[in-house]
Amino acid sequence: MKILEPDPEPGKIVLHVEHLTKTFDSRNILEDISFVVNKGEVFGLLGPNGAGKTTLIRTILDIFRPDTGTISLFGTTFSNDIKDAIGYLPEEGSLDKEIPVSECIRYFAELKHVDAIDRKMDEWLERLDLTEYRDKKIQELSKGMHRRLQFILAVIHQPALLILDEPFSGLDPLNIKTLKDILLDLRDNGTTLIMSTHQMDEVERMCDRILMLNNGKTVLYGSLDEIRLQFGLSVEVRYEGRLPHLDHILGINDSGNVAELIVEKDADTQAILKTLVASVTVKKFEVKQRSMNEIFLEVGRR
Amino acid sequence: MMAKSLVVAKFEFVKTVRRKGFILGTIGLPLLMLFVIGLTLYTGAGIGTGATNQTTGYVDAAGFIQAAPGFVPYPDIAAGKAALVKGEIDSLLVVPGGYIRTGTLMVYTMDSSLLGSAGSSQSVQEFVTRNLLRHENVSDETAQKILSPVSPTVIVLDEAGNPKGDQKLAGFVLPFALTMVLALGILTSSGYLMQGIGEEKESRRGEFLLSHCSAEELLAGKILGYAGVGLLQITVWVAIGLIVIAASPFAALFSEIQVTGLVCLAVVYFVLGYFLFSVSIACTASLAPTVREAQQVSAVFSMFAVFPIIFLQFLLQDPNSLLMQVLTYFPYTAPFVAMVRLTLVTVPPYEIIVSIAILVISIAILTKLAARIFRMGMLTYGKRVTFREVFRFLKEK
Repeated sequence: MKILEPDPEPGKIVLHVEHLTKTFDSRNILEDISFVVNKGEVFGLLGPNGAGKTTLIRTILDIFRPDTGTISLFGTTFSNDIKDAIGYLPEEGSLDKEIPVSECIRYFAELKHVDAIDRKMDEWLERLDLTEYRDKKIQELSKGMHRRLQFILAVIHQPALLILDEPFSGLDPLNIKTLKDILLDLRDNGTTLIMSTHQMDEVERMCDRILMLNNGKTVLYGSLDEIRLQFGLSVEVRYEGRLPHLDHILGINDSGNVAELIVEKDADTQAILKTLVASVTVKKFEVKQRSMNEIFLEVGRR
Repeated sequence: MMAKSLVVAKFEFVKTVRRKGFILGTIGLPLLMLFVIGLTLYTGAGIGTGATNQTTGYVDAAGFIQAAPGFVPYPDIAAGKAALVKGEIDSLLVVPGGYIRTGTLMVYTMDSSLLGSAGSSQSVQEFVTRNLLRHENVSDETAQKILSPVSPTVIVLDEAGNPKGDQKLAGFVLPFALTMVLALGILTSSGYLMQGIGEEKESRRGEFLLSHCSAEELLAGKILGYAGVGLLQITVWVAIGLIVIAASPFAALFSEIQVTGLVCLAVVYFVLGYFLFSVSIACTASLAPTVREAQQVSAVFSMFAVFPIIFLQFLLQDPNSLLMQVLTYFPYTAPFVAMVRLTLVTVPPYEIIVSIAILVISIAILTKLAARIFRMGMLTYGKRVTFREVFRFLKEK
């Protein structure tokens, strides 16, 4: 698998990770990871469970320190001021259930040195439809509301870089849409987003570029188009008869009268169609780019 | 760093002092204790008063009892029992003929309650003792001294045989009480600290918090916040105690308390001791998978606080023994053992200086290591951390 080289653009880079390695108990959790995240982009951090995504996020946040390699944020090394410019929404963890929502927001806002807390709190509560829960205890919130509250805590300080770990987990479709709109709005206003998720359809809709890890190593890195191109094309064929031998095919998923052909990226699809027409009755022939879900599954299986 | 630590400290303090458990423990517990003490005193006084107002009949076959107010003679047991059943008397004392030889008495009563029996027994004992002394020609004045001996005035000498400067009871009681307050303060504050950290770890909140502030800031804030909680609780308890003392006959003993060097040393040991224990317990709590396990492991630290009680006999016998010197230097026992020794004997100044120096150095080293253990421990969920992992945490940059 060819790893696409980073293409740093000085001044535009928000996060620059170079040759990062992290070892626990002689086990490489992260191995020579290098990538850049540019200002204002939505960057996908992908990989199967145990790939090293959480360790990478914790290392970016300076919760873990790298064994070797460097991490540069906003062109400089990590400091407390930089921490205040980052927002983080972890995948798991519950907030203190005994305190009111407003008090929880105030606490985390004060930790990030936010001014005009009340005004910003009210704005965010309204935006995420939690206004009526302002003075209620967190234990009264549903799982989805709890997740929305966590999101408010991650963004109330208007971070320049927002790191989201499975941001849509626990949310219903309506809330997913609301949150997605807010994320895109944040991006349009200059916030850079790093999103770790397993939901490939969201990756395809939102991410500009991705980094995919497997067993602590980089297996994919680059823009979605570049990566899809790297993985060839998908051809859906509806037919009657018996499929002939086809050249330049990486794989076939044949269901009898519908087949999905994975073809090499430089293959001549017209030639394939001609071969098919000569042997079977072709009712449908559709050439598509491969979905991120297919690519994720293929890479994850290796 | 301080600003975020103060935010954490304020949050933890406010959150904890608002809890029903804290309010109940801080105000309810001493009030409950006062109620129990008051009830005991009231019922005790009631026994006395009741006994004084009660009428006791007696049958004296030994022939040495003289009539006294509240005591009515009867010629024989049958007459006495009849009077008791009719309610003319509350109890009947029978002094057999061979009492001087056997020492055996009998009391008949219609009241089967424990308190009634005790009150009756107390007044009867005093009545019989007084008559015995009179029978042996002891003067009333001497008899009174025997019945109510006075407390001796204790004069403590130093090594040179001269009375020590501060002979007031408060001079001894205050530092000792401060030692006890230190132990109590450490146990209560660290209990809250442990619970707070344990809950945060169980709910996997640590990662979110560490994205807002550093492990050092979080740890410092928690220690400060829960120190405030402990101090508030202790202050309320001490204040309630002082109000009770002020209203009691012991008030005069504490009227001339001065802040001596001993009291200043108690404060120094209090502060250092609290920080040493807090940092240790914070580490322990961050490594334990559940609050319950954290409590079990932290019980080890509570043991140190009661060392002076465990070693009380040795402490009183020879406060300057080698064992006590070692315990004065060992950081976890120093705050308690040193303070108790200081109240008992003159401890060489170098021992105190070395003891405080060891405490300060221990806190400095432990704080440095604690932040690493705390940071990594808070992110290790759902499993027991092994010693090997702790060493790995310590090696983390």
